Amino acid sequence: MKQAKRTVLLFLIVYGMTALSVMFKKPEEFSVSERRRLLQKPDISFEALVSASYMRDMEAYVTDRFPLREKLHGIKSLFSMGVMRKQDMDNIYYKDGYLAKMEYPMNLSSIEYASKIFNKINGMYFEGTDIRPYLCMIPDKNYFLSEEEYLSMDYELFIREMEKQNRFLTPISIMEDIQLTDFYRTDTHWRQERIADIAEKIASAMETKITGEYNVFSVEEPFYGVYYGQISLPIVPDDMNYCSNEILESCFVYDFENKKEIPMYDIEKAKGRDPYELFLGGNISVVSIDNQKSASEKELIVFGDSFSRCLVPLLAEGYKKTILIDIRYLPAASVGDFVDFANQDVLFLYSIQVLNNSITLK
Amino acid sequence: MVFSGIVFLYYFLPCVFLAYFVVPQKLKNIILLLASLFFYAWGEPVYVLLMLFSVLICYYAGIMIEKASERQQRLFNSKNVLICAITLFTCIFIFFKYTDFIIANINAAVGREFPLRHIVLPIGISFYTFQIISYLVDVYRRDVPAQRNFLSLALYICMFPQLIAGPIVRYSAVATQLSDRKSTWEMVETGISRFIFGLSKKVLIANELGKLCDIFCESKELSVLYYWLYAVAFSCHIYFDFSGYSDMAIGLGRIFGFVFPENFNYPYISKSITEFWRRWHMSLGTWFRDYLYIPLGGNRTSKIRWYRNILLVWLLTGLWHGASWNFVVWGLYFAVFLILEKSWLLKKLNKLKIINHLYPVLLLIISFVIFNAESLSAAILDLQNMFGMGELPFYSKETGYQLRNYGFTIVIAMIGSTPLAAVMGKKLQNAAPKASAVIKILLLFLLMLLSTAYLVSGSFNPFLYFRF
Repeated sequence: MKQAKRTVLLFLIVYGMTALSVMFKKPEEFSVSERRRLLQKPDISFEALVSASYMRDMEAYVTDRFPLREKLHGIKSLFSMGVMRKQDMDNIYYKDGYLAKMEYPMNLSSIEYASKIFNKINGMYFEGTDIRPYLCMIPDKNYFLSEEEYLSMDYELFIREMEKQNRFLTPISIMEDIQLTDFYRTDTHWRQERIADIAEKIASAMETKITGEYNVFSVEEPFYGVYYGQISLPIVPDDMNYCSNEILESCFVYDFENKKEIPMYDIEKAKGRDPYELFLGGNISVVSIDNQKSASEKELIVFGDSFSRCLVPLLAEGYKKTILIDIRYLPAASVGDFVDFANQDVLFLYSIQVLNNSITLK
Repeated sequence: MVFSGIVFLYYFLPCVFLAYFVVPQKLKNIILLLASLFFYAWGEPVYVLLMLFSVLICYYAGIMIEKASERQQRLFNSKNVLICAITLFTCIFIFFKYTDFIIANINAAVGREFPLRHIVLPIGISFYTFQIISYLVDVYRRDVPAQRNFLSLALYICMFPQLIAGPIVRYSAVATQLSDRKSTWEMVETGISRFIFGLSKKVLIANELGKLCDIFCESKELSVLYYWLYAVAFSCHIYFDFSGYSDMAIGLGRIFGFVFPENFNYPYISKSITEFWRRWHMSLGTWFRDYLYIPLGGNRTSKIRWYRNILLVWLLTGLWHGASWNFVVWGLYFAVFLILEKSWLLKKLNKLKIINHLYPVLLLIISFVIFNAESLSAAILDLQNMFGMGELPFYSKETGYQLRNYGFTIVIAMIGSTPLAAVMGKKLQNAAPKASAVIKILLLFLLMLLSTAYLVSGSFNPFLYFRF
């Protein structure tokens, strides 16, 4: 009796206090690790009540706003991987100090969709011009880490398939040059200060020369990458760096979407929600870099994703004008509003992760 | 609302506890009923009216059956009232659960295309309809008096702990507790423990294995071994899901002073299919036994009729689980083995010590593949692939990965399906009662923390038994 009473009272105190804090604690508005605004309290209406959509939304809302949610997510990760011997958490795993995502299986319909858009761009803008189009694909960390231990697609087959479906593009392979250490440990992206050699190789394949000599600058804040937020394991954050030199510092960078000049590297954004927005202003549909000191008259147009934002500044050195177009934010059919295609080098520079989930391309 | 949701655990339940234990005894049933209606309306805001209508009809039907049994007039006699009431409830049940199944089969039979109605199944209708029928039959048999207090009867049918996924509580089991019960410290303590153990069975094991089943269903790299991994994982998943829910229901009942019947008793340690069905979903098994099998004559009849009774009961047991032919086949599959066991197999099995453990486990794993298939043809295809009669390789890379990924969870589930943990707990309690009490409290807090972490972290949380 005494023991039972003690147990019940202890439980009720802890449970009651937890419930009170859940009910009355002012919830967070934003999840830093997930880089998103948390759900808002649903509006109540007769229709929402009758259809039970209010209840469903409320369930989602209270779960999203649960106190210490990110800590609890970390506890789940630790228990899952440490005790229950799970190999991954929602396809993200930890190996050799790196967090990586299993990009698996190879999505043929995604390859077809991306290729359809690329071919459409070719038909719309390149035919009848002197455009020289190239294709370069960037593997993800799973390419290096998975081995036999984790699931991974056949990257060579993926590249072959992309090349087969985009014969108008001249392939530039960087598979032999890229290394695991070129990537952030906690993020999906590559590190700018480690890919100067890759930039040189791509430039050289397009018959352009760049110096490859930069000064490396560090961002003061630690960089908690996107995988860090998704897995919430106690892992040391990355340090974030960027490269510049006299030529890059003199470049004029213009944001066509917001119609304003922007810095090549926006340090304020590196301290924000998505530090990788440091490079060329982040998720902007069209950005141009004018290089007044360029000895060459060549121009470069890059169709790319966030990986490209990091690499393009390094290529810009070899061109008079470089335009980066992100067709995740601008439909391919509207690209002509911003660019006149004539005799430029055109580079399709995409991560294999994006191409394998190409539904985001417009 | 589901037990393993944040709204239930951290909003609804604390408020109900507070209100229930603060109000005087005579108001406790009102609090529980209001809470139950809110609980149901949270998921089924419209169908709560259907449930209340059912309660109302059941209330008057019970009283009329009792009155008619006293008068026994030619037309207005208890049997006729019972038949009318059962027919009404069965029709409602069939309308909501089997309309599309019936239309689809008529279409297939006559080559027409009558449109399907896509009627949404009211949550828990299979459970509360069976409770209502059991009450009416018990009143008719004069096993229990008709409940004159509408509130008590409404509470019996609508009580939230067992409302949407059982156990199917017989009225006689709780009749006295509805009007006179007490929550002791011991009952509340065992109730809390039972609830938390049930919650962790559901959240930490069942949901995780459910994810593996989903991954399997979406995989493009299937193999024979992967099929077996899926079959074992689903067998563990369904047990932990359903028994976890029953544990939570029984635990909540204890907290409020009710003693609900047990629903599971380590079914996977059974040595035959007969024994399995005495240990699995016991409240459904006893319902069919008492209200169908025995009234049909049970085994006290000719062999042919006995077999007919078994086949009919298991056909309906299958159909109760779902409106699809694979559920019918699933029920009849068990009927065949039960007949075989009752005829001669059981005697033979009793002599084979290891095989009598493996035989039911193998049959159950196969049965749950049939159970979880989307259709009968899908079930046949699954079984062909499982036994290497498809064109699948024996092994694939993904199979190996998922074996490593979920292997430990499956091992834990297998161990958890046996009484091993309970036996060890008892031993510890006898050897060191104080230490055992401390360990138990710590374990409960840990499980609650982990369950909350899992719930907050993921949105994968559907209760499997809702679709019945």
